[in-house]
Amino acid sequence: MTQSNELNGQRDAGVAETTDQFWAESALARSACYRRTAFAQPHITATGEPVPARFAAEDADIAKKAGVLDLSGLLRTGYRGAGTPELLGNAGLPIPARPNQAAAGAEGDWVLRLSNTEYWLLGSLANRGETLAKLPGLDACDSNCLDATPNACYPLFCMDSHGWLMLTGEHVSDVMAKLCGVDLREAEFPLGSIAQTSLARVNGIIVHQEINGLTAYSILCDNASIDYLWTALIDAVQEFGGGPVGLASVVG
Amino acid sequence: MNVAESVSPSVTGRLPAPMGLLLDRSQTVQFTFEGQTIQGVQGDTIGSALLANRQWLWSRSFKYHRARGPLTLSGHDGNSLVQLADEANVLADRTVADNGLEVSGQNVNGTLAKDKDAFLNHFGRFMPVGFYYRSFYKPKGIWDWWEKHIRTKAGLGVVDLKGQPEYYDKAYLFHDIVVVGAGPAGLNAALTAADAGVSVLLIEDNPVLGGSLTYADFVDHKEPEALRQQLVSRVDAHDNIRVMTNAICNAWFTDNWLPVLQGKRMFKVRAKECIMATGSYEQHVVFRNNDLPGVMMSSAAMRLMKHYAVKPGQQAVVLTGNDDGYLAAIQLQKQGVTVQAVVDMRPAPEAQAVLFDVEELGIPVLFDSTVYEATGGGADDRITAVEVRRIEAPGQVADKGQTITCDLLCMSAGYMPAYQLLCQAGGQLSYDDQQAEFTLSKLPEHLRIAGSVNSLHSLTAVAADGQRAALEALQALGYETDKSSLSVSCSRRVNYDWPIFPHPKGKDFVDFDEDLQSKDIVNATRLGYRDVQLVKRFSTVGMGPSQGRHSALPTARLVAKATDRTVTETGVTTARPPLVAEKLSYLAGRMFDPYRETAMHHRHKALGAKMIPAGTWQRPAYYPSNIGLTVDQSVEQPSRQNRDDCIEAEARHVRSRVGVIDVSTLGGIELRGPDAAELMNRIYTFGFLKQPVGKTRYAVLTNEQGVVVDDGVACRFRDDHIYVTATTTGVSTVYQLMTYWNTQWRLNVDITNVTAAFAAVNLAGPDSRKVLETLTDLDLSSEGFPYLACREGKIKVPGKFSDTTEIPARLLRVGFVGELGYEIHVPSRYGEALWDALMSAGAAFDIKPFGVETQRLLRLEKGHIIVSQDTDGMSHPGELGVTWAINRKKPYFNGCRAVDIVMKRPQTRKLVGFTLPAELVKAGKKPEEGHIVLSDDSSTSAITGHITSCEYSPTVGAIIGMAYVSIQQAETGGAFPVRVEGGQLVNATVVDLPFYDPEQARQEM
Amino acid sequence: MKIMPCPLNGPRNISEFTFGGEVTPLPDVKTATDNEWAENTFYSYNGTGVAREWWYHVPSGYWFVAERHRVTDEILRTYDPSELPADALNSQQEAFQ
Repeated sequence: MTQSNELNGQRDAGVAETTDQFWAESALARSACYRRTAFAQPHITATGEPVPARFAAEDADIAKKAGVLDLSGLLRTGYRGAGTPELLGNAGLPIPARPNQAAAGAEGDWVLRLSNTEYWLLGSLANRGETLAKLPGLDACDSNCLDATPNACYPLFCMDSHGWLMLTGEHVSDVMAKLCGVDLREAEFPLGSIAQTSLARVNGIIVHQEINGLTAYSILCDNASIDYLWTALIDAVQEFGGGPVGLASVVG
Repeated sequence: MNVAESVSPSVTGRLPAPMGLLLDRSQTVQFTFEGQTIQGVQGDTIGSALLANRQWLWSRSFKYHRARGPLTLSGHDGNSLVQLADEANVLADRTVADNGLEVSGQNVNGTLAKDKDAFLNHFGRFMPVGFYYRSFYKPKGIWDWWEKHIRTKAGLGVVDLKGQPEYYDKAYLFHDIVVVGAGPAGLNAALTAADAGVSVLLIEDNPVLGGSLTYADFVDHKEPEALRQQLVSRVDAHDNIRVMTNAICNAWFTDNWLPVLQGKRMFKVRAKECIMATGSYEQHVVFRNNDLPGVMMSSAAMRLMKHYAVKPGQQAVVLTGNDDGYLAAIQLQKQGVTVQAVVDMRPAPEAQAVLFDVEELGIPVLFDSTVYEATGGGADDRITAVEVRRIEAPGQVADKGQTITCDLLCMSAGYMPAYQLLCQAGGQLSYDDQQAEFTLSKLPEHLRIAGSVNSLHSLTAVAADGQRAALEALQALGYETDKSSLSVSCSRRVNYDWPIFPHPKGKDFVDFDEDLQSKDIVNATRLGYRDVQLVKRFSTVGMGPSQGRHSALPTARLVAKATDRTVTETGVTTARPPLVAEKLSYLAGRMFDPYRETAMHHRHKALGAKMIPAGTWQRPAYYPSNIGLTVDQSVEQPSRQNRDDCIEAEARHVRSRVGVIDVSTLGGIELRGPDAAELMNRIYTFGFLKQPVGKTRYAVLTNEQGVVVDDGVACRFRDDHIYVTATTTGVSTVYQLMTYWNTQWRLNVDITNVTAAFAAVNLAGPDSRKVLETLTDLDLSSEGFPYLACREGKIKVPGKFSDTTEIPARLLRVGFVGELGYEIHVPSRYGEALWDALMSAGAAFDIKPFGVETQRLLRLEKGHIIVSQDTDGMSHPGELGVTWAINRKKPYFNGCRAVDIVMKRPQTRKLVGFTLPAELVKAGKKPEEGHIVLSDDSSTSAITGHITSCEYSPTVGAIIGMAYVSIQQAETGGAFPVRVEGGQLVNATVVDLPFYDPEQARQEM
Repeated sequence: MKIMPCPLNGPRNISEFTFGGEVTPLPDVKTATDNEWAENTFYSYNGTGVAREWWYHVPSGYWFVAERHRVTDEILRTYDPSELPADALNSQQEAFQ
């Protein structure tokens, strides 16, 4: 109870409201929880959007225990429809065999297959989303994106509909067990598994990845709930010596 | 003798090892009980330390305030409830004694030793069962007087209202096999399962593993501690077993969903297979004064010696109905207690060997005998002697008997399986007359029992049963196992069939918690409460803290006999979760309380907006800063006058200049593909097939009852692309409905809920075009971008550290607030930048933000309904006056048949606009939402409708609103009475909608 | 908490799902009488046996069919709606012809 009060306190008062101190505001596109990471050093991604790169010298150690990253500034996209495999094939990206499986591409991009015809793509942490930036129809807001993709391949709004957080380190499944009613222990949820489920009472997509040998669970969740989820994750990792970490701590 | 004299500060006098399994004798602990200092040893519970200091009076009983002491020493009875400084109802025999604890008795008037209410003991015959129900209700109303007095007398501990919150939370756990109870059955089950390679969770509510191996002696095993150590070391070394001690599995829910409480965390455990090795509760014997301090279960005396090295007394009598009593007598004698006699209710022991051992120690054994009455009067009201009589028939004794001096009486009448969790799971209890005990059957799949809960009573059989259950569970998980070892049986009989000896003077307790005597149960049946469930409700048997662990079996036997039925037919009362008292902190601890924020949320907060909830969102209601007010909302709320002033100022500003409101919470659904318009046409009431590209159209959704449930605006950006908005709270349902139908229609259209993907504002007011012109190259002229058109374009946003950049946008010319206005929808990541751009571009035009409450007033002036505010679960399109938005030439839309049916019926009510003079605001007579509309005929006072929206409109200069009224009242120019605050009536005048700008000149500029 | 085996996502807590009503064909929207239509809207079968029901997995937005025993509450089978026979659908196809 005490800690949740603290969280509410942060939500209401602890978050600075003045605009000068936020590096995220140097870009037009902003993560929905950028105020939470204001004290980090930013890094600019391939699409020009900043992500937190480094919080403190201990980042790498924390990332090995239970690190929380905000990757919302990093490129991700998605496509739905029977024409999607054609697009993925053209781009040289892997096509996972079954729904709820994910596969890594050569450059460190990940393809998430969410249903028979729906695929989401997560930009490479290593090249800061460079590979995906070449894909067609990235501006899903523009009607004419439909002309850029194959027939029956509809670009999705993943960059805006969902925020992207990542949990890293040896305690990922312990942390998830405090939030989520699905068994996400590594034995039951091996590398490349996807769970579309409810965590901390919001819907999300959880993907088991590996970044430079580090266990990493990406969490994609309703963008408007990302600030809430960030606080829930930070609360949950305390017990394991975890905390916020930057992109640099996992990709050097 | 008083308490002070009986309490000794000494910690010496403990029994030598191996007694004292739980103790660390190198350290002492010190706490106070009723103000007296108590010294204990590390590992003591409050209770064991009290007994080591010869403090046998622990509590006063609930009704008669009788002295009570230890009964089970395992937290299974209510006698051990004590008060801590900051916590009530703490079990003394389970709570570890910590340095500095302040412990006191509960339910006492005065002190525990000198309870002023102890006189009630002598008034028992005036307080029969059902006493309260039958005595305090006449004359009518007298209960109100009695209630407060009774409530003061009743009840247990005192809640510390100054308590500080602590951090409790929850976590999930997943295991192949979960074993509840780490006694000999549970340990064997866990090891067998883990050896096969599955992941095992072993849950034990005691601090050490071993269950009965930690305190009991066995006919068929001489070295239980050696066996325990061997099993526990294997468990500890096993990688596949996770052990949780001091953990309570507090319920069983469907599909093996187990809430397990440990420390300050509730684990929600999911087990593929569950094995309950929860053991059994030793049962008491019913005789007069069987509740005196010094009368306890044999197992309690064994626990006291083996766990805590406390000698339970000087002179003991063991009253038994099984051979376990003999084993207790032997252990007592070994530890220096003089056992005066073993009183065996049976004609002979089952195993001759135990009789031989007892006689060898010189302990006399009395067969076919029972204790008929115990006598108190010792220190702490402790027992001083028992009267033993010969049993002549079940429940009947000889006229005379012999008195034996003792300060300890141990009872072994038999065992009741720990049935509660299993009955929660749907298991059935049936009574085995041969064994005189309840057995469990009809358990659901994937749930098994093992050990004494499965009515097995030899250590060999209990251990083998653990293995058996594990092998069955492994088979269910698909493992190949040896099937030959799947049968376990045991002929040991441990339950005496009628350990109930009523006494003419009573105080022969069946239920210690509720002070219920055997005649209370029998009398309940004589009053007609023949069903055991009714007996419970009438007598409160089993309702106390021990929840029938000891009262269920004698109650079942007594009710069965009194109603001439079998014990199986009688049964026990329903067991419901939780198993043991569950602190609310487990439930109220860290809660997940999701909130949603729009991209512009922090800009509103920085402007000091008054926020209100909208579903899980927070939205600005209005901005006190717009009237120069700075209200620190963490300290005080804006006043009603502040609110009204703000709304008026914001509304005037939108009507005269330009305002901007965050509408990001509005739902959005993207329909793309060749059949986009076809899907729209089948879902919403209007026609959409011929909707031109670049135009918007009002979209009304009806449900299968013909009721309007949502509305929005459909924007056609391409032939194969429609973007349709929905209400903030309705969008998930609309999306679900569309996908539900298209799962069956299989139209060639992609449906995506893009609510969170777009941030949006409504830029409204006569100067809105001028503001927008500075930010886009789109042709904004009334010809180029007319009213109800929609466009895709770019918004130019000055970068803070870079040159001007463009962000993609969708623009809609809408008239919701009735002024020239543009809804601007952009990808949510750009939402904050859009807000900043509009605020800085608008500065030259004195742009001001406005909130949801102002928007509600503005749209009310235009007569636009808000679905769910101005509609209810009965509102059909005719009542709302939106029939113009229904196309009945098309073959189908969602709810079309129901709309036809309800619209055919004579209409009984209508939503109308009304006005009232502005003066009523000051007079406190302005109607509020929900106030009722009455019939014109004042003689009937019939309710004909209610107010749905009502505000003072500065633009109109009057109170305006919408209300449901009867058809007779709906005529323009007519009037209807409204009952406002305080029951006063005002007469509202029906007017045509809208209130403002009926020519639509302003929004179509 | 009960477990629902989702054909797309596997076994999940029932709290992740919403119920969508029984899989029963609607009367012909063009020819059904008002009474038939009202009956279909307001009455549902209340007997024993196996029910075929619509269920929706909220986190993934997926509709599927579950066959559930009305007495034991046992979920016997779940499958993708594409496996439903055409005559079981509430397709209202006649309305669009």
